[in-house]
Amino acid sequence: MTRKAASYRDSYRTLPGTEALEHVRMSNASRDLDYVKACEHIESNAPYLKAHASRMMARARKHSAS
Amino acid sequence: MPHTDASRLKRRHLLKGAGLATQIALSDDPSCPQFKGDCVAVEDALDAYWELRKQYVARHKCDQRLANHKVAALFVRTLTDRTAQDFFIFGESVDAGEQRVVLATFMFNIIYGILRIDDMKVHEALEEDIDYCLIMEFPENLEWFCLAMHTLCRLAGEPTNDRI
Repeated sequence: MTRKAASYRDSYRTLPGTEALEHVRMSNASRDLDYVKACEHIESNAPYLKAHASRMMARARKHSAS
Repeated sequence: MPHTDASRLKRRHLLKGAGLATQIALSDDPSCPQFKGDCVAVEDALDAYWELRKQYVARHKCDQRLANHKVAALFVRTLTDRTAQDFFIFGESVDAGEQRVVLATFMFNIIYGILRIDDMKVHEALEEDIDYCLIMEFPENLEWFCLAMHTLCRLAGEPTNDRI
């Protein structure tokens, strides 16, 4: 078996963590989007959303100050 | 196909939930936004979302079911043309930059709900990329943003489909 000519493809590497994504399929067989659950998810994760909002705000303030 | 009352109701519920979550998330911040709740801007955003969704479905010749990462991208695209003042009340000292972050937080909270993000799995660099788009500039190419949402959903979310 002859080796293929070297190309940029030879340097392709698997991105970290992609093996773990194999089971995820975006097929039409997946469940329906449940807006009630989406809202519950937002409500029940207030601490994370607060931390995220603070991070964004801090970054924006730093950006505008520099 | 018209935007039915039932589907409009569930989308309005989401926008209001995400808006209130934004107010709560920034309640200790000097910007301290007050979400307006039932307001013209929410109704306008729902109209604009529906219009954009119809265009998207027509352009991509997809059926009426849209994967949730696309729904999230369309919602963000809809909101990016609006101002934070459309949805929130601010004190006088809050500048335009801070107001934009409040709008970005609103968008992020919508994404968070629609994709059902597990925040333990969020990739920091990806989160920063997305935050940049929300705060600084929405990518000209909506498909690019759909892809970013797709990646986020695959990494940290739960794929679902939105029927009408």
